[in-house]
Amino acid sequence: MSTNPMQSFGNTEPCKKWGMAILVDQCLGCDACVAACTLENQTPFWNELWRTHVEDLEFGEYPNSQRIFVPRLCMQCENPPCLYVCPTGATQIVDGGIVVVDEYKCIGCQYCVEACPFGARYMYTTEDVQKAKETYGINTIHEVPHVDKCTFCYETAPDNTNTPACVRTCVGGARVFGCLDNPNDEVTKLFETGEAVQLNPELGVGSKVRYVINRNLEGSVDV
Amino acid sequence: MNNQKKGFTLLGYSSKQIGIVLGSLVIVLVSIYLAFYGYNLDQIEEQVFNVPWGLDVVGYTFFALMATGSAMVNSVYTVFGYKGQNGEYSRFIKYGAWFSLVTILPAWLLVLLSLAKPFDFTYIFVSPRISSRITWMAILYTFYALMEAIELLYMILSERFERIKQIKYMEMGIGILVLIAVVSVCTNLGQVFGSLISMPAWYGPWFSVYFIFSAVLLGASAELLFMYPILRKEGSVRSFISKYYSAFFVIGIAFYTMYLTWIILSAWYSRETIWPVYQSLLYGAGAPIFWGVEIFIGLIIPLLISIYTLKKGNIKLMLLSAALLVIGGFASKYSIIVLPQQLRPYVWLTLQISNFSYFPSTGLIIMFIAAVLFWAAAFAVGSIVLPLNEKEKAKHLWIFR
Repeated sequence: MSTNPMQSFGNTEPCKKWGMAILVDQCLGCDACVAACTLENQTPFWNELWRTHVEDLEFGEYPNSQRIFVPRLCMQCENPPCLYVCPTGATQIVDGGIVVVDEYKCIGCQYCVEACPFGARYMYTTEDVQKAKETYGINTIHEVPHVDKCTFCYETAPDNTNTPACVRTCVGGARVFGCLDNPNDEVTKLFETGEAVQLNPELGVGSKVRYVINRNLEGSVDV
Repeated sequence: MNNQKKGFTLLGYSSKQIGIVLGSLVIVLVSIYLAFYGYNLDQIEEQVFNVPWGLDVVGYTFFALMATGSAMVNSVYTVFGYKGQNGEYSRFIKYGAWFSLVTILPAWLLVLLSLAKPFDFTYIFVSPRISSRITWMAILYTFYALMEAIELLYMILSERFERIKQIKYMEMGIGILVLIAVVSVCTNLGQVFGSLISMPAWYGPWFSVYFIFSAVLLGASAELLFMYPILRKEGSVRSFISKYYSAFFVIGIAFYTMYLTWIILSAWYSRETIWPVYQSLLYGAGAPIFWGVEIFIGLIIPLLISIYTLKKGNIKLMLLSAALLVIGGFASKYSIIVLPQQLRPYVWLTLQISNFSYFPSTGLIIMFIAAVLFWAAAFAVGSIVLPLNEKEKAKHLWIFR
């Protein structure tokens, strides 16, 4: 069994279940998380494809309109549809409950891209691999074409800390990340009190990324 | 004497036959080269990320349904024992079996080239995940190709070795296994799409049934088109084919239309997520293809022609009907696969329906044309080198003419 490179701070036991709560009201829409993730994970920004990005949504009509920013990323489902459809076992759940893609086993059929209800996956093409090599040189982390997605920075785990790049960079403190095994963790409290809610709970995927929103979002959506 | 007049012969093949075989083999090689050229071009062209399954997957589905559908049509002879009033069916059943076998090859070519790493497809066998419908496609395709090849071999070898022919229920047994294989392939292919909860317009068990109706129509019409040049001089067979396939088309179109209507009516009740797709199909951007190509060209005209030829028997009109059914069948696969990806629902606090544009890249178009060329040329090679006529015995290596 592989060891989890990301361990809770101060704990020697690896975390079994990582989670993230997104405080929508605190997101400023500055895209610092997108930039941090792009550099950390070398996502193909040249094709405007990201592991995480921020949706800019408007609700209602003037004078009762409101604007919110909703960070999007992989929901790290406990019961991930992308896992079951992968024909080669390239999509796996590793220690910590994180859904990752083994890029060498991925054949690029994109069945998982179709299967993800949150649109959180994209194809890292042959051309993207080439561009990544040109951009990042010997530091490139994408060797072959594959389907790519957010892994809570599992591959890079900088400084052996457990915090993904987007969380470290967030200026508004909108992303709360922690170990769901730890009852004292802020993210666990948000999950357990029901403040952080799942998107599409009817899908039954059990997402470990949840949203905290303290606003009434009635009205039409203009995307 | 006659042979001498015809000129050069080799191993019993006339110079014309050798010319066709060599020409077809060249086309096979060129088409494989073209397919990989198209693949490489597609890799460097501007990618359409929002529609991951484009023309390559549409073409793959089209050929896979055609192959399985033609095997279902052949099962009328092999399993249910209908051989025509005067045994006319026996004259072309081996061509039918060869057609089913060879038609799966362009489907495989396209599906392999739809992968980012085509040669890594072996991982599906080396490290399979059984919950994936694609894994089952690989397993079932292997079973199907094996059974279809065994059926064809049985048909060829039983002409030469009488004792094989005398084994009771052998033909029917193999026929049943082929039928099980093709129905499994067809329904599982439907569920590759139908098991995706993320795509409401695909989700559900209806896709499998839709694919079976569609496969029978596509298989029967394409088989007729390919076999006509071979059987055109045989008057009694021509007349039989004309009436037999007319009946198939009339029944097939009736069931297909009824099922399609039911699907559209059902979609009405899922107004938020599924209906936008059918709205586009009925009176939106997809309407010209749906009404013009799929319904009018692909169903109404073939139905009228088939009703006429069922009574009067006109092979030329039947060929027109078959060609239109193939065109309509392709258009319907294009609509049903591409449109739901363009109008895909996402829920980010509220429901949003995407509106992605899609047009196949030049590379994909080249790949599809290459697959069609490959298919026609491969069929021609087998039609000449294999003893596919009634009571024709193999002379070389047990299976060659």
